[in-house]
Amino acid sequence: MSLLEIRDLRIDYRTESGVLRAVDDVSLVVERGDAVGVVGESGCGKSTLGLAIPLLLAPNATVAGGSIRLDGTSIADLDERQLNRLRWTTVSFIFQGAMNALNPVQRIDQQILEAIRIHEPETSTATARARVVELLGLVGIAPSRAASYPHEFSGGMRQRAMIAMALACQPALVIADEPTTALDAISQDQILQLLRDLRRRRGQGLIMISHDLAAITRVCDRIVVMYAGVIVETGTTADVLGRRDAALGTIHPYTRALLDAHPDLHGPRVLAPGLSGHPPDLARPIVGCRFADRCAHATDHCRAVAPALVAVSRDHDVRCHFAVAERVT
Amino acid sequence: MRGSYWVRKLASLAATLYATVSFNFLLFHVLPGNPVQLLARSGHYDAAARRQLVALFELNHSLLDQYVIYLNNTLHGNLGFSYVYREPVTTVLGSAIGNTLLLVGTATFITVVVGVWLGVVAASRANSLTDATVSVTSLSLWSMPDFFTGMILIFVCGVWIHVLPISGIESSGLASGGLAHVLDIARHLVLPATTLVLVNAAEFSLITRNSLVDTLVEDYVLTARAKGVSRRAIVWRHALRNALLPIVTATALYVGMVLGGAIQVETVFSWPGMGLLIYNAVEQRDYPVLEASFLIFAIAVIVTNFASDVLYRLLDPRVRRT
Repeated sequence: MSLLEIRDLRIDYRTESGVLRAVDDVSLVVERGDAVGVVGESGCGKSTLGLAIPLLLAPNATVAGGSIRLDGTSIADLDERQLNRLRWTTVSFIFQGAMNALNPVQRIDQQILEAIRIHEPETSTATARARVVELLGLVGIAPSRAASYPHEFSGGMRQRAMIAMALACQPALVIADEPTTALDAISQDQILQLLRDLRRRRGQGLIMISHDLAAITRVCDRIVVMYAGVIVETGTTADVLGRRDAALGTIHPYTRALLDAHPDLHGPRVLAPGLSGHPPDLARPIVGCRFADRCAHATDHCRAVAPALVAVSRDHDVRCHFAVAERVT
Repeated sequence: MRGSYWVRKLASLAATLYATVSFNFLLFHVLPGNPVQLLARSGHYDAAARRQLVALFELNHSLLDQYVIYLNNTLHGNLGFSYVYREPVTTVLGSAIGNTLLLVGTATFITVVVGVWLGVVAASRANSLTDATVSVTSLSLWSMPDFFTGMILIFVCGVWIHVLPISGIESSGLASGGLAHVLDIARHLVLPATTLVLVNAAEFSLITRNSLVDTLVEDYVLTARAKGVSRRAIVWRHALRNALLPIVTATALYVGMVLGGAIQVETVFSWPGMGLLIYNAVEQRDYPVLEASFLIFAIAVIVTNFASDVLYRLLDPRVRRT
């Protein structure tokens, strides 16, 4: 039984301009101990996907189709009380602690303590406090700083405290949503290092959501690239990155663009090309490939027929007509 | 750092109080008209009597000297002599202050508790019928003048269904201090306090509602939900304390409003407090009483603002270190 099994998930938002499908037919399996990175631009549905797992969607969002199974349990069958019991004990989150994810008027240790108190009421206060100190030690925060308020911490420390909090109830799956965004380069590096170490030492499943492909490749062994609500490419990190210099056909042009957005430190000095244009408006029906408008290789066929997600090799799927073409010919 | 904050804060409190006392002096001494002219208007006073009055009110000194005398007297708790009651102003004010504190204190406590609770209920069901009902009802009540609401209550509870006393603070003929006496005062307190609560609760219910609705979409509320915190606990434990910050500020402003409201309500219900005293003092041109009452109201507002600053620091750790 997989830790997490998402099948054909569809999530709709009711907005003023109509119903917007933020996640469209997304399937994803995460095994115990896996680290999966979900990458894409803002608004591609990656955060919505993460929040949907323990049903933390905004009030105007609904699961319009598909299923989510955690440890074999379909979460659609659970009521609010059962969901609350599952939250943080099975799936916890590392939100952007550097921003506002920690309550500004509560002490850090109290916020971590609360998670333990809620889910393990039988644990004594002394034991719970000792665990808080231990968790903070794990992320490099001294016990003397435990009783601080969030504003007394630097952005990097807040993010580390957030990680400590996410581990408080030994969840099987941790979802890190933009864990390095809004941090300086050195703090980013520390956080990525920490996520890697923790994963190795504690064997938790990890889903890391980020717009930063380079950050994801440092932590995750599988990558899911999302564009406009759909998965456009998924495969092992080695597969996706290994195709870096290969001709178009085994890598999605969007992934290519994401990779190119990061200049190679050792390569020739060129300006990162970037990607012009915007993702399509999801509130309107889309005909053909969602990426066609921004793709240099797009043909009339691309604009007329939506491509399917097809395997280009074992464990490597790409949603592109050219990917199919190369395999067939 | 922490010490210097309190030094600065207390210094600014002292400066504000000094400025208020001085302004109060100017209000009554520089503006045209003085008590002697008013008293002598009837023509029963001869020149000697006038001179005596001028001396009594210390108007025979220069303005600066009068100011110094006034400051000195105020600092020593001498607020002048009421010529309507023919008693020192402090004696006249004595029982009135207590009665107003009882009325305004009770009303404020209930207003804040009921207002905040209604705001929480409305925000928890934002954009529902309950939310709309709370908002519309509190706005309607807020837009009514205190005396009007008071008169409606008198009409309904006193004239139609004779359930509660509509005037005064106690019934005559009860031994003071006994339980019966306390209950009697409480019964007299119901209508005037209810009037103030009805009119002012909106300020708290609307601010709480809006502040809480804004707070409930903050990232840390999502964190709390993800942690499996129950809806109730999210509102009361995580969101409300953050949402309360504007309410603390509102309370300070509210005290100024409620004192104004107390003048109307005490007059309507003949509640023998500062408000009724001021109303009567205006009618009878009892300047010393007015002067002292203004000063006390001003000090009450200043001290409340100071208290709200202190409370703000207790609620918000981010303010403490600045």
